[in-house]
Amino acid sequence: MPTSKPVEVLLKEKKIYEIVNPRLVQAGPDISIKEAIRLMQERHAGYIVIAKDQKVVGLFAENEVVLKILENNVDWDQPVSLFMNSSPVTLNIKDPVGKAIDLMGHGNFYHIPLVDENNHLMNVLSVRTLIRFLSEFYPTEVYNLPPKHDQIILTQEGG
Amino acid sequence: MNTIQCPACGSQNLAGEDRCEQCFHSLMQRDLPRAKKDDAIQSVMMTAPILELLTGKDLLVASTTDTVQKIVKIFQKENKNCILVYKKKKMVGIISFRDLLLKVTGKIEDLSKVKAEAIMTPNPEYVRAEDPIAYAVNKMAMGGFRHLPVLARDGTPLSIIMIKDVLKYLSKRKEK
Repeated sequence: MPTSKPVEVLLKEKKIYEIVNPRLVQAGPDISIKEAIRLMQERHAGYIVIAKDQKVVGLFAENEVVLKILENNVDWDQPVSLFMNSSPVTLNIKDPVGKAIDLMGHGNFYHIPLVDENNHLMNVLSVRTLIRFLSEFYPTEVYNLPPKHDQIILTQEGG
Repeated sequence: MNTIQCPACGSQNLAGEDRCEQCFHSLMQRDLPRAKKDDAIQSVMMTAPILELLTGKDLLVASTTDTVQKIVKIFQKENKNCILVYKKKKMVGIISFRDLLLKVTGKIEDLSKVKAEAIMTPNPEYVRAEDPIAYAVNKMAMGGFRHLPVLARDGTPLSIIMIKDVLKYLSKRKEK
């Protein structure tokens, strides 16, 4: 990571497609809640981008599962489209990373579907990818700080 | 094996060593390396304490024996997405949406029969309010955590910070 430029400049220059992982969990709007949840659990993903004909039509994420489905007597055979967020914020893959930081900081979501000029779904940007990107801006010594706390974390779930 | 790099000479040492085996520089220092002078964002993240992120509003605490059903109801009512689990004034776990998605949804029939301790992520990483923001960012990035408890010296909880709080703070700084 070249750190010759100030972070402010890098946030404007760096494009989202340069930092994302090639990992996208997507499905059509007709899959059932049951299938959606199985897919998220199998892929260990907190979201599914719901797409139809390559266009983003919604986002089904942990928020929807916990707030709308758990303990609400929902019939799991219903299509996911009834419970998804049908107007998720999207970004162009060529937008600067700084724009994603602004959106993520103010919105109530952890994933932003990414599209190209033709509005076709290309990828997804997760909040963890962003924080990893930011953590690269410190001098290498920060990674090697002596441990302050006496515990070892075994899994990343839930933290 | 965990190793730590000596900030002085760059050689690798076993994690937890008091000093660098090669050059005898101390590896116990608590202060962070300094940011570049002309880099406003880098400076603020390395010098501003986590204290600046705290709102005092995001703190929910459950007991190990509270039921998962009760916790879900509280999440839904309060629109919160993370709760600390305490037992006898000591933090023993954390529960977020991710635990509910991976361990509860579709796997547990009756949420009123399962206790928090069965599904929590035990012994979560945490930070102190006086640690620099960079420290929290590093922990979140390395561990893949979206939430970090902020504890006082005596172990009492002060807040839970989210990645979102860090991004919001940065995005404000960026505009200045």
